[in-house]
Amino acid sequence: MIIDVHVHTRLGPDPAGFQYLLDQAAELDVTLCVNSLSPKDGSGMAQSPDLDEVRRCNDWTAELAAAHPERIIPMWYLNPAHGDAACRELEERVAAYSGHQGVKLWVAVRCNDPLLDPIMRICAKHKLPVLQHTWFKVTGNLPGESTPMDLRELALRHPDVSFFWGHSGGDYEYGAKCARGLPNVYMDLGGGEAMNGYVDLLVEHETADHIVFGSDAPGRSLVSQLAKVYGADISRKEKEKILFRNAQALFAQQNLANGAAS
Amino acid sequence: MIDANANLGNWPFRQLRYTTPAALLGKMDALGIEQAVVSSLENVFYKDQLSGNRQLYAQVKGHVDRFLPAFTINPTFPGWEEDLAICIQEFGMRVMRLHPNYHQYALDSAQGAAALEAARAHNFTVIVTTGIEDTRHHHPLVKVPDVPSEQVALAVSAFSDVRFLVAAANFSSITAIRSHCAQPQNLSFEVSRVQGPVGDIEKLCATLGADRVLFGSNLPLHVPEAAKMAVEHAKISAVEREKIVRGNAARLFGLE
Repeated sequence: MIIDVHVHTRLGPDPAGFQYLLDQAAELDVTLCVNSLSPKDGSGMAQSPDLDEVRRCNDWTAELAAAHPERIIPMWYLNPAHGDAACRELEERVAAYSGHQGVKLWVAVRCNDPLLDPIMRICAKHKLPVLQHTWFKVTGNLPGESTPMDLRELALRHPDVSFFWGHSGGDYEYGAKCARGLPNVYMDLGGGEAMNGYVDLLVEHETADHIVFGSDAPGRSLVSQLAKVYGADISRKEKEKILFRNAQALFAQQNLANGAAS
Repeated sequence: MIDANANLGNWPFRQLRYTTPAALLGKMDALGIEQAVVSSLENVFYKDQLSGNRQLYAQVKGHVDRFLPAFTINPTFPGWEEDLAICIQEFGMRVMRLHPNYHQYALDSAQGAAALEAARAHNFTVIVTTGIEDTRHHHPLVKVPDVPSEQVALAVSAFSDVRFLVAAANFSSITAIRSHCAQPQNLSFEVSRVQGPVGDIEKLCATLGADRVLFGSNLPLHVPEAAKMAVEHAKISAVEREKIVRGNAARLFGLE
């Protein structure tokens, strides 16, 4: 069993690509935590979509989760710039869905912004893990793109929320140091290249108790990201924690308002 | 299996595993990699390529059944032609490695052409490393853009009788290089830094043909399991898989 906390779909037709992912997930016994992002002009992704677009994304996520309940955990995508409307969107999604679920935040607003605080309080109430994108790029970040230090601020401000630390900070050496000592964060392995020593370094600084497997598929292949774990010089027990036990334990804590999480 | 792209030596920016011949051989044994084409990783930054090449020769000469050395040439540095002659005469050079971006020349420039003329004259296979690791994570003082795909395409077209292997390019870079080449019969790619999107190996086989795709690890910078698993799990035929993990490299480097 494997839990992949970082999987995207995109609004719009890509049945072949997503079906490939579903088939491979079945082959490798991977549960996919899926969020939908909005395409921008049919190419890149909208960095700050309007509320209607966010709802369309989450409708699509809900549809996929309903179609593949054994394989997909929905991660509701929100734009914190929408304020109260973003909170209402989340509450409605939680009320309507009976299984494990979480929240995905990308690059609309840097995550140390107080705009996130009301959303975090809802996540704490329902024990929704939050996958927050982070990246520290020497080539320059996007305007609303969170750095690992931004997420450290948010995680310290909300100790009752569990965070999947997106991409381990992109620059995983930088991210690993930013996350040290935080009990409520879990380094997400998804997205970067499978560098020699990537997971070993995270285990050294965060321990295997605070790392979760993510792929960032379909942009990344599942297997290239799994290789980060399989290629690490760590114990089998540590690999199991990373591949599924840590995420499984977080989702098991969920106490959703409708009480139907299993 | 044959690893078409590996390195020996250290990297200035972080500690790595598998930097010595013994450690690299141990990893190769664990993964079933019988042979590897190896270069000096230090030569990415050394000014005097001969010193790195000499060290590489010393490291591999006791393991000629496992390592095929690819000696690095920097055609912008004084005396490179004399150093090349030493690599040929003393080290038995058969494969040339180029780092046009780190060594600061255009592959389609006069300097690049001079190196490729030498490759043609000596019937070398040429490995062009277009981007050794993700540019977003470079050291802030050493930000090195990837080799432009147009440059690679121009050189491949201009030297159509030279065999090229593009190393450590990601999927989009491979696609871009391929799109700029009209009839790239002399061009192959290794897959160490492909790592996506889903279905990447299948897409490369469909676009390039399985004859042009080679297994490569980019050790010790990347974990070799990434490329190995990508090829193993790809929905391709057994014949195509065998070409990628062994047959194409054996043919390209004369290892049969």
